Amino acid sequence: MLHISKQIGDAAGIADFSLRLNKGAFHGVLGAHCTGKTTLARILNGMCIPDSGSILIEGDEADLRSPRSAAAWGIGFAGEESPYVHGLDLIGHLMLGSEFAPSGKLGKRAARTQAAEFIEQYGIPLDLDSRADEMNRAEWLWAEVLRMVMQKRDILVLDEPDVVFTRQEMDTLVSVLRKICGAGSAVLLFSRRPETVLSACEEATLLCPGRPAETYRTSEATAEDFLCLMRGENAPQAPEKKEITVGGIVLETRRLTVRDQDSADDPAHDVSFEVRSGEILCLLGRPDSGWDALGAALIGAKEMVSGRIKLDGKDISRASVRDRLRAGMAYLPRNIRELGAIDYFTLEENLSLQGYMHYQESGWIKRRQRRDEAAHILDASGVSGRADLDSYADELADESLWLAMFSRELERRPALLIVEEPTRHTSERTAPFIREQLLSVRANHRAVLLLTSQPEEAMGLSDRILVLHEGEIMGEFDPANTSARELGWYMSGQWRQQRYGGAAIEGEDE
Amino acid sequence: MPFLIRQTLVYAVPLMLVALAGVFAERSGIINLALEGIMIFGAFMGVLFVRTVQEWGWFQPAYDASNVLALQGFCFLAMLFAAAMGAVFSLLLAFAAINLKADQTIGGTALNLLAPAVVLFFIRMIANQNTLNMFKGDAASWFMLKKSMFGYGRKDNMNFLGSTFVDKVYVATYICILVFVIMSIILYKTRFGMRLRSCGENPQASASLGINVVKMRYAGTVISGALAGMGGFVYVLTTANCSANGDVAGFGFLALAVMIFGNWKPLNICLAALLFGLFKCVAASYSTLDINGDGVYMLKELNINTNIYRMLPYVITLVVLAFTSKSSRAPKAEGIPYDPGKR
Amino acid sequence: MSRRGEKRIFQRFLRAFAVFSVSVATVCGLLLCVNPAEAWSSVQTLLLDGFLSKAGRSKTLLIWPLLMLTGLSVGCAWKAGFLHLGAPGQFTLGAFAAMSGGLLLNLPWWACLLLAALGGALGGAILSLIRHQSRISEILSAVMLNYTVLCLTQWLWEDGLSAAAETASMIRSALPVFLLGNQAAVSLGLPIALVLCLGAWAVLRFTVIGFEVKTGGGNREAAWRAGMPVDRNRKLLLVLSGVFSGLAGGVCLLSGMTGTALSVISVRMGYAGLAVAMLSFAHPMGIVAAALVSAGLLSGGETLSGTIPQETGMMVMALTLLGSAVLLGKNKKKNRG
Repeated sequence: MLHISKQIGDAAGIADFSLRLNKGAFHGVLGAHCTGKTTLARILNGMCIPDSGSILIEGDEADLRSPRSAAAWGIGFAGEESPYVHGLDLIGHLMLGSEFAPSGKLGKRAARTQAAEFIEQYGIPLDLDSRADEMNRAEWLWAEVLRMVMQKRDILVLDEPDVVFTRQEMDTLVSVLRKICGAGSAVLLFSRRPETVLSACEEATLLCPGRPAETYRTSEATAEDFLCLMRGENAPQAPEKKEITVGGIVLETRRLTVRDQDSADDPAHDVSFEVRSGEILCLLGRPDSGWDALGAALIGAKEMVSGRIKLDGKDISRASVRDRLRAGMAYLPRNIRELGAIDYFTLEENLSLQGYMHYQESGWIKRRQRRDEAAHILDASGVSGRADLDSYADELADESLWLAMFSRELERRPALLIVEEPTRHTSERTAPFIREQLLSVRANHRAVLLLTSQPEEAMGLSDRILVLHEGEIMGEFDPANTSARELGWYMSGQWRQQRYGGAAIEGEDE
Repeated sequence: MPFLIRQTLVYAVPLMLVALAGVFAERSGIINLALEGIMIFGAFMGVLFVRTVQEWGWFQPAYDASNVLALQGFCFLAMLFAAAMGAVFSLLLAFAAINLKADQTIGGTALNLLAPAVVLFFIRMIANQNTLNMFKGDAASWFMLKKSMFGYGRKDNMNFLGSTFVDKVYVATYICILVFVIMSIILYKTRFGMRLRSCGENPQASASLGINVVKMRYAGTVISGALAGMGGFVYVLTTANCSANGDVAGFGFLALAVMIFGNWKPLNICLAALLFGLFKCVAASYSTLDINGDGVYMLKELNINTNIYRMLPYVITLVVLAFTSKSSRAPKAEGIPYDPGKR
Repeated sequence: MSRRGEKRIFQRFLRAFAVFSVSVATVCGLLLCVNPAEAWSSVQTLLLDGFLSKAGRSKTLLIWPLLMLTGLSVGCAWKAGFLHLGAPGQFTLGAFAAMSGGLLLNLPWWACLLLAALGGALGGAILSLIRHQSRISEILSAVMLNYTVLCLTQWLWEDGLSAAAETASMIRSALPVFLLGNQAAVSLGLPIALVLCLGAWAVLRFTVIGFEVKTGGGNREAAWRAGMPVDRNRKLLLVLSGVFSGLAGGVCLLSGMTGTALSVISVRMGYAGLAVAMLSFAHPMGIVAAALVSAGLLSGGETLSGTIPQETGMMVMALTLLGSAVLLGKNKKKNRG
């Protein structure tokens, strides 16, 4: 019998979490954004230390101080970060950490044979001859699962695989994992979507805001029950979207191709679309599908190889970043800390980053004016309670920084707001604020370009959705007439609308 | 011509060894800019060892009896000592960078400053002058292989291979080549090497597989120090007649350039080292270079100022790097301190 | 300055002080082990002679502006985001330019200083060119350039200047000197350096371009996306660092410090300036203070005689640099700005 029992108190937002995992069990952990799921996964992997509580594995207290100790205790982890190591081929990756030879030399042949056996036994769809530097995130996830099996891990922890896989791929994963459970290991699946957990696991533990975690048997519950529980009692309703008459074209791109120095393929190839005033257009795709490169190219941070960009009718393809900002573009990257703010600057200085040219007079900064404007932005953002103008940016939580920078961009009243994954850093409490702000930009007849990998986010906010896969547009959708499942098909590149170069497809089938 | 080849090897071999030292450290994720300083320290320690052992008279009978084997053994012991001291010196960098999460480029530069200061300090204390020499005799008489040892008289000529590779060489050079080959094999063909490399590319992934990243990085840095220390001693042994003066004229940085130019791969490093070694050789001995063997010292005739020749290796380095840097690729996680709790 | 800002500065001061003390203590310990008899007196000489004795004070006052200028050179580059190891080379270029101006053209001191600044700027411009046209690491290119400049100036010296040095004299080009009471003689270099440090502080704090530079150094991507001309600023900063180091070389030469060879002193001042800048977290006012303390240390070190060698001062500076490396670690972004 294999038990993990955890009572964790007050570790970065988790209060009193308990879980019991049995040998051979397939257990799900369900929770919305910012409810501590990732923290929990990191604790299991040894990357985070709980403030109180204990983890018992087969009766022994496990002190998971580091990823190494977690591995020593038999816990395998597959999470967000890519496990790619340059210079190693796929077999090398599979062998890393428990190389198959008694002596110092590498036993690649033995490893390959073993890998092939496991692929056969569990039905893992991984091609052992794939090139490690060309594998995408989904293939890496399969490789990680295979590796965990080869290394005979007793507990497999998977952090949100449904972000990387489409629905069908998830089904395959679930069947593979069931077989692995049958062989004796236990699986812990972290997810945000009730459907995943319901279809895969026998038991699920829900992380609900404001309540201790509870475990349910999946056979006794439905998706709606879970959703309600996840949202909590006082869940704010999704804001109403008014009908807005769409105006003229604000942004137009024509055959845009972006090149990246580090990768072989163009992250974005021959992309054309337009955004009109009063509209929220969403570019939806997996994280590596190229929308981040497109966003960077639009603002001028990444180089565009060919194509044209027009803002309000003016061609800005060769314009500098400063000119584009002046012309009315605003851009919020999802990792705001790395790309949009300076850690050791105060909040006042960070807030003035975009408009700093306004508070100057022949080169000298007008400090009074800068401070007033920064104060104004801070009030509008709703962060004033948690931080003040003199806090250093590295003292702020991700969420507060995001809100502050969001307000910073909105303050400039841009004609086009490009924002990446707006609700990624927010909790249930503050996400509605972001949504309201985006809708008000739309209501004021300006345009929003939303870049995200979450179909739910896309469907909830946008007027039109364009699905991207490997740098090309797969299809255009009306959020009211589509589903996350259908979008998933297009996101994985398996289907493609005729309009965008695809062959005639079969009828849409759930 | 044999002289040219011999001298090129003399400069190229320490260069490639120290470049490999850089590779070991960087592959494990630590930028080692202190190669220059470690060379200086290793050189000093090696010379000190030789001097002290001579003072104690341990190998004097061997010298008197022309026991080549014992003398080469003496030389080898000195190399080992220099390597060990280089490893100790590099522990400073390792501790600061790994445990204290120091900035590795500044730390390496600091060690480059510390080494000459410490070395000159001790040289002045021991010898009351600016250079530390051997206690007795010179490197040529103690450690060099000469054709007389193989039965050739002074006027006899060995064949081409002999006069290039056997006469007037130091076995130390060949030992270094051997060490280079062995360490390269370790880096690429063993389990240890694979783990080391993965720590430099993706430490988070490596740790979650059970690899002890801290231990690997220490290993990488310490090996780096050992190789650089040995390289430093061999450098002063073969080019400065076994005397240490607290300076290696930028050799450590040249080795870094060789490492970059060789794209962190041993075979390319070998070739790059030969190229740079050639330039160093020309710069150092241009006046005695008799390329065709016809008694004409061509370069000397050109009457160019010595300083231009001295400048040549550095300028060539800049030029060569300028054209190749675009395609080089450093290990992905180098310079970034390993933080287990990082996302 | 806000409360939190004050607290931060105080913390940094404490840390810098700790690092400095540990370095001094380590070296003292070494002296104790090596030569117990003279250790105590040497330590006293090392630390205090630069301030207490008249000869020591004049030496300190000579070294102080040099360290301030090289420190400023490295510090400005640090704020802009690079580690500037080219200070010795630019120092040499500046000194050489000033010397040429004085010996060959018999120019007055201010013209020589201008030449020194230009010489340093040339060094900076070459570095900037190398850095932006290719992807060679700035460290390697700076070090290679240092050695190149050394050889180059040696050649030029042998080729012509040494002959000129025997015939001409540089009285006209020497920096004016004024006396502080009857305590010590101070060359004009000192007020020049102080004014430049003050100016640097003001520019960084109050002007737009200072803000752009700090932002560019803090996070190049963020500055780029805010529309700042990051690359242009960086090129300018590299040239400016060259100017400061070149001026240091000029001041050094024109103040008559010809005792030690130019190559040795340029390396010492260049790298000690690096230590000074890192210790004071690249804050111009901090550089002034750290330069003073280091100057005292170095001059005390030079006075050491007997069996304790003169390298002791540089050893402390090297250890200080190592300690600063710990403080400035990449994960500790708080300490970087």
